[in-house]
Amino acid sequence: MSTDPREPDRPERERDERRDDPPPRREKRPKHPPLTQREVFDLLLRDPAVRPYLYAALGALALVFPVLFDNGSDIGAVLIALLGTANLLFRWVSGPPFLLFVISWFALFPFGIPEAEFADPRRISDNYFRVADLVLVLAALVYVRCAFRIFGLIHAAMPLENAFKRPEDAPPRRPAAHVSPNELVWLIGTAVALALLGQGAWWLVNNVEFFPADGDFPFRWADPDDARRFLRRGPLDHGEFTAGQTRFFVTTFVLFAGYLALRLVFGYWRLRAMSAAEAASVCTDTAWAETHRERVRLEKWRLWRIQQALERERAAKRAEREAKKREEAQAREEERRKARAAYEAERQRERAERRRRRDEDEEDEDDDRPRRRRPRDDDEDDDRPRRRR
Amino acid sequence: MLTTRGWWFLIVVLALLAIGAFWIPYFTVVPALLAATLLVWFVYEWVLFQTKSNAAVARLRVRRWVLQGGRPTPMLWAGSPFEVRVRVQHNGLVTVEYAVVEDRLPAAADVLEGDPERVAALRSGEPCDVTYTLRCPAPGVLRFEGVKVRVADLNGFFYRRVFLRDPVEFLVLPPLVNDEGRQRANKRFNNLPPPGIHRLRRPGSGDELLDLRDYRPGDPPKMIAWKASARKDKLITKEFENDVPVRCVLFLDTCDGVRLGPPGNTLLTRMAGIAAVVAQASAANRDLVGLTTFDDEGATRSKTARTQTHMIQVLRQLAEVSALQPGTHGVPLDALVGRAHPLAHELYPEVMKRSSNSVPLSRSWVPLLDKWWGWIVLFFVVFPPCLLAVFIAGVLDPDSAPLPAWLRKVYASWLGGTLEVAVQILRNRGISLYPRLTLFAIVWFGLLILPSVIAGFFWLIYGIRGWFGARRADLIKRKQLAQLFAMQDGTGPEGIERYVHDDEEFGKRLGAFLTHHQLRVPMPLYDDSGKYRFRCPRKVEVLAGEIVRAIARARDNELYVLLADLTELGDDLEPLVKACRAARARKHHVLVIVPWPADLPAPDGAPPEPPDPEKKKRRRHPDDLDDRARARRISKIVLENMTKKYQDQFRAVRRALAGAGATVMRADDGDPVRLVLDRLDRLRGMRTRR
Repeated sequence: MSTDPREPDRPERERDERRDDPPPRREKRPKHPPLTQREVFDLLLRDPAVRPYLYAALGALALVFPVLFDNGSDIGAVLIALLGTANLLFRWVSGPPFLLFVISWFALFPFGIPEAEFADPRRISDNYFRVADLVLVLAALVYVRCAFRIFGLIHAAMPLENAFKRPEDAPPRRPAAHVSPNELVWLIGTAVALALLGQGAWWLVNNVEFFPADGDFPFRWADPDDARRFLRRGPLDHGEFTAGQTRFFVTTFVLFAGYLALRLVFGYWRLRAMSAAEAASVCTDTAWAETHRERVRLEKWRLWRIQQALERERAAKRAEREAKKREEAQAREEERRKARAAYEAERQRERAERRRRRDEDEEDEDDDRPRRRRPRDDDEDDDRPRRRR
Repeated sequence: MLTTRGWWFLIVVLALLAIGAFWIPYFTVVPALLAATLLVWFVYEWVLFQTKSNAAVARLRVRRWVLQGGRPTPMLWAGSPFEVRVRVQHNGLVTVEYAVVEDRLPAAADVLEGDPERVAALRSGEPCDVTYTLRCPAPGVLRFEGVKVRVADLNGFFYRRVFLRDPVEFLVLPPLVNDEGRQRANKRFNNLPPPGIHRLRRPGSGDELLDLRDYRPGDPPKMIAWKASARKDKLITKEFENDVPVRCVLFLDTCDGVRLGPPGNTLLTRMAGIAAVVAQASAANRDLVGLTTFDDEGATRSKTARTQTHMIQVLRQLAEVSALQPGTHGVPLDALVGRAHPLAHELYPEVMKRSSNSVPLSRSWVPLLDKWWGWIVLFFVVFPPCLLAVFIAGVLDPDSAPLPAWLRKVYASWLGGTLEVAVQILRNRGISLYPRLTLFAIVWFGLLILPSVIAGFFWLIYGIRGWFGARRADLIKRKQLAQLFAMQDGTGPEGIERYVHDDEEFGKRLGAFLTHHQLRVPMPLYDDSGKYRFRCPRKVEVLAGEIVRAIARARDNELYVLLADLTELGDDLEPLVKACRAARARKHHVLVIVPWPADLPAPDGAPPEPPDPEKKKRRRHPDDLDDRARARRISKIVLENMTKKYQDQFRAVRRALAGAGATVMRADDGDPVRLVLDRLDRLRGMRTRR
């Protein structure tokens, strides 16, 4: 910073400098500007389309509360209710999955603090379709579904199109006017059915035995009176697995088989519904993948050939230019030589002319008139200074 | 496809299932029940979304209407608003509850009313209409690519984007002139002839008397001047002047230099606007107008005429040339790919996705043998094991063919050396005999093939570089674009590798792709040696040739209006000057209108204000300036110098052409249209002599 007192004040200097600044770039406004917190509250509490979802979610949390309370987990019940409500109000999108872990934690440790628990081998078989579990699971499912739908209305219903978020990008939200009146009814109805299905799936996984020694099919129904089913560790016969191992194999098989079946059905359907352009792209890509090694080699040779041809062309042009330069130089040299020869011939002619005149003068001896003597280069008696040629 | 939210949810549920079903089920079954139920729900949502996607989204169809003046029109007028209506519907059996339908806006069009995006539920048979109003401020070509439809489930787990391609182009004609453009010049002459004609002093069928002559048998009786005949006592016939129309030929420069700029705001668009107004005004005066567009390679001519059909044809030609884009020769390939790849993803998502346009890892491998020294590495990889195999074969079968003596010697010394090293490594280690022997064999074997191992590692590292970083990303982009182009060109897999390897072909194809979809690329204006790349000096010869051709075909005195950017061509104008001289020698008029950049001050404008003498010029040491201030100052100096140079060049051009008898003016100086019309009127009122 200069301390010259003659310099204008700093604000003026900055003003002058700013004048040279390029015009400020207009900031792009996002197409779907995010809601402020006040607008979120307004939407949640006042909009008739969004309010039912909020009430349903809060009601689900209210259902979780007595179940956990009955289980001896009063702190957990309160914490889950508060956390669940905060998730909705403050748009914590990762809140609902986290809440599932919190529910599981307090189901395992009712007081929240890990303490020594004894493993009950009959806990699984004694807890099929228990009402409390059913209510808890149903409530959690309703809460999670409502929460995600609310997030679609107040936060984001679709992902961004760009891979990297730019300042002007904002994810689109579902408009509240778009909510149909019977959406919540369907949600709760399907939640009940899904809760029962989930219970059924758990029952199935625990009542099927994995027996790979069986030649026909490695899975069979478990004997409900067989006490060894409840043993977590041996002794077991050869080819038999513990309950936990069986559960693992059955679960994996169900997941794998289910995935395979769905993939086959919907994959084939997707192929049938494929557009012509996409099908052509798949065929082209497959043909390329099968032949790209040979084609790479061909293209490299082709480019090498083109490069060689270009090099030869450049070399030919260079040679032509140099030949032209040489010819020009020769022509110039020839001209110079001719000029020199002409000059020499001219000089010879002049000398001959002078000699002839001199001889003519000398021959005329009868003429006594005084003559001006022409200086000769080889005149030794003549001491006059001469101009140098 | 699963969104990020969906993936996280699935991972959480599977983790909860793993913990609840396999770790703690004997303590509490709640986590397992919870996870199983949520997993069943997730699968249910997935099945529902896939069903809707295959049954409804895959069957979406689009229709478009463009209305101007309340009715569908194949061509549009610049400056006038028009309505765009897009209808999307499907005939599947399911309903998509949440879809965002967005019409992709064309370039150089402003939205006046409505929104091209709409959120809707797509029910079977029910149309979803998107209506909005646009306006094009400049003539050109308007291209609609299609409609983007994004579909998601209500929880945000699944998402699919499709682009319903429906490319259609509309010509945007220059606007029609108002009444002011049609008015003739102020009446300067008392006997101004009717519009569309001027007098030619040759016998014809006009209204003005040219001459009286003696009667010749066959002359019509109504042409006999009775009074003169009575005075002279012999029959005298009247001869009238010939009325011929005034012709105006417009020469419009369409080379790359005038195509630069944002769409709708290029020099070419402005010149085309002037040409359109001149053409319409002249036609309204019933003068004949012709249009010749030229660039540095050739010219396109249209004959002079004054019919309505011809005028529409001229306006169409002007609209088409207004939409021309500069060539992409000289633009770096990275810049072209950076523009083309996102555009291709947007317009052709089904072709550009990884499942149908893939690049396997093996393709990204960098081959070592492409380099000449790679063969040396190959030698080191292959040769030691081969020698070892020969040695072992020699030990096992003494009758096998021996190695050459010199090779045997080298290998023997190599064996001896590695043996000694192995012995040194294992000496005094305190290991018992048999393990030591085993270790010795391993170490010796390792030393024997050590060159191969090192060379192999080098080969691996060299090749695996192609799997990471910008190299792979660039190859993926290039291959995806190449496949798209190969499909469009019909060349199949052959074309893919051609475009991947040949930069020149790929650059040309990229330029054609971007031009076809009307996407502009930032152009480098100067080459590596600092010369302006868009001078197009050959256009002067083309223009001069066209003027000479027009002179050769001219029947009468004509007006030639040259709308061309000649400022950068000060030293190369000789052919044009000669052509202008030839035109002037034939009594034609030449008017040159040069476009002027909007951000440059006029060359004849007021000089800059002198600095205030009381305000002392402050001088600062360059070290006091920060980088930004220094850059600003340098930019200002460069800009001032460039402006001065441009103005000087314009003055030189004006001087050269004025010397040939042409009138030169800038497009933003006054009203060039008025000047052209005044010149036409002057031609009309002149008594020409041939």
